[in-house]
Amino acid sequence: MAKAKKIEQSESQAHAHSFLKAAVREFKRDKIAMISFFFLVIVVFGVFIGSMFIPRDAFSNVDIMDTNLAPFTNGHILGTDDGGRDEFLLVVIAARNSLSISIPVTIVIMAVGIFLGLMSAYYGGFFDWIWMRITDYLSIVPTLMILLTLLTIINNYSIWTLVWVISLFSWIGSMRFFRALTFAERENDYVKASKLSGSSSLAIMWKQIFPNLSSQFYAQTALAFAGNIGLETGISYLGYGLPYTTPSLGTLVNKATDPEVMTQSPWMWLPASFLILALSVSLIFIGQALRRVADQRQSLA
Amino acid sequence: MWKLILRRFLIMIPQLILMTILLFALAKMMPGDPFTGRFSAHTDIHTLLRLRREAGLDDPWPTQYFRWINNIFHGNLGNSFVLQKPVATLLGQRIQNTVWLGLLSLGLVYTIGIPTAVASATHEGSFRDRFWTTYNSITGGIPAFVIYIFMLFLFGFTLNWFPTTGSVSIDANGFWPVLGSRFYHLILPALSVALFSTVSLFNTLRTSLLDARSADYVRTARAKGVSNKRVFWRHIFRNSMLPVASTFGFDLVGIFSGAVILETVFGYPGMGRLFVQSITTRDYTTMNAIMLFSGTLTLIGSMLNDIIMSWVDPRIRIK
Repeated sequence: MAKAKKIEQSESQAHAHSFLKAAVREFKRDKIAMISFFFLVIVVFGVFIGSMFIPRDAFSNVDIMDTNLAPFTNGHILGTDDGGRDEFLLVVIAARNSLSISIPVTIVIMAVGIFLGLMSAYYGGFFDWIWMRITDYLSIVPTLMILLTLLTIINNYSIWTLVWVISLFSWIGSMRFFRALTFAERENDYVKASKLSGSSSLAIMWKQIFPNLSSQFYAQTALAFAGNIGLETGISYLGYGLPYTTPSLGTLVNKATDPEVMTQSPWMWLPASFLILALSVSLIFIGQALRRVADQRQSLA
Repeated sequence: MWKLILRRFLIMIPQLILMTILLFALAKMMPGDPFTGRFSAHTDIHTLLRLRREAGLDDPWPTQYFRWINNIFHGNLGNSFVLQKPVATLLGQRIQNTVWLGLLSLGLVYTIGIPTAVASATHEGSFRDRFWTTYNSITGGIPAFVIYIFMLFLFGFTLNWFPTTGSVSIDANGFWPVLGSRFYHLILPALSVALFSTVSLFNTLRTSLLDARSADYVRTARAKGVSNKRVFWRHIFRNSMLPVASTFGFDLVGIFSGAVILETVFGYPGMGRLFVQSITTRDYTTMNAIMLFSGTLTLIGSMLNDIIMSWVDPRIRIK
């Protein structure tokens, strides 16, 4: 028993190792994915570490002497907004706020998605039926509108409320994705062999099927992350994300709704828009490279 | 076939009931009632309470729910207590605008998506193929509202090619000028949607074109001596359009779900913009009516989808 466990462990380690190796090889071959990866790492770490050094009152501090400055004047790299706040600092704070919603949302929906997807496809029957009806139902309701309505009804919310409300409607995609994958995987001989040799269902699901889906899991995570950045900034753009005192990248883009700001002072919304675009595009490139790795490994197995 | 349509229609009913229950619950969770905005501070509280009772707001929830459903069936969606108008009239004007915008964008999606997918699939692995595949995977993943803003900034404000807000110019008089002005206002939003949402059409068509190439009927046609061009257009292309046709129902629905952000950015007075406006003014009756409308539409779209799918592919019918 102990021996079997040891073999299992070393197998799963070998598995993780080979995935990493394959991924590194793919990223070395695909320079765009490599650049995207480093860009993402730099932005995420830069934003979270950098915002620690920004004084807490940077956003509430209004400096009426320095309003509406164009970039590169008075030491403001990206200029200032209508309240004299430094645009660069604003973008850093906003990016941190956006990421601190979209990262937890991604974690929640991927965890729920893989958990329900695996269970649903593995057990099948009534359990599967009921979850499929629930996802069917959630995919016909006007999601964005209900989300916005919920956010107006809940009038006092924090980052976490926002995370749960967004996750409530976003797990469907990842659940369906993993359900379909598990359905295909379940038919393989190794699952039957494992079942015959007396492995418990939980062990089969998490120690045998899941490692085989793990490369797909990472690819899907990158793509879901891109989607969640879009969703969160979109909600903030409409004005229903975090309160105005905790700006998100979407809140900064929202300034462009004023035609005068849009045309006369583009530095107030362009950097945030470019950052949103750059983040999603790099995540898409990463996701695609990871998906290629996953496909290669699937064809090898 | 009729049996299938009937069965599919019957499935829709419980879904519709569940949706109305959800929307009703949301409506009840919303603060305020139709009388909240109508009275000043001088209004007698007892009058208010009497009016509330007469409107049936003190009745138990089930009674209120069934009254609401009954009203909907009679075409009475309630009154917008902010704009002091029946919601049905408000919606009527806006839905038209949204539908025209949606149809034009959908038409453009097909005119861009189909040729590019054909070009990609016929030259698999070429630069052209890689270009369009990458183009679609990027445009399909980036947040739409950022794109809309860039398009508006570039073509609306900087180049001044298109109007930047509204659905018709005030100066337009007479039938043809109004029609022309409406169309002119539609172009930029529709183009912005179309250029950046070809991904699902492109992927579906490209995959099915590639799959069809190695199908038996294609080999048979080739063996008969049919010319390459004819094999492609008469056999491969026609069969590959079936999965594309089957997603038409969802494409149609996508118009309404994307309207919220699209119309907000372009200041286009359609249903999505009405929704955002009614959130801002906390006009819950209008919000609920719009949600009910687009939810019902999604249901009909998904039903249409299943019916088209089983119509073009008899294998599904048997299952």
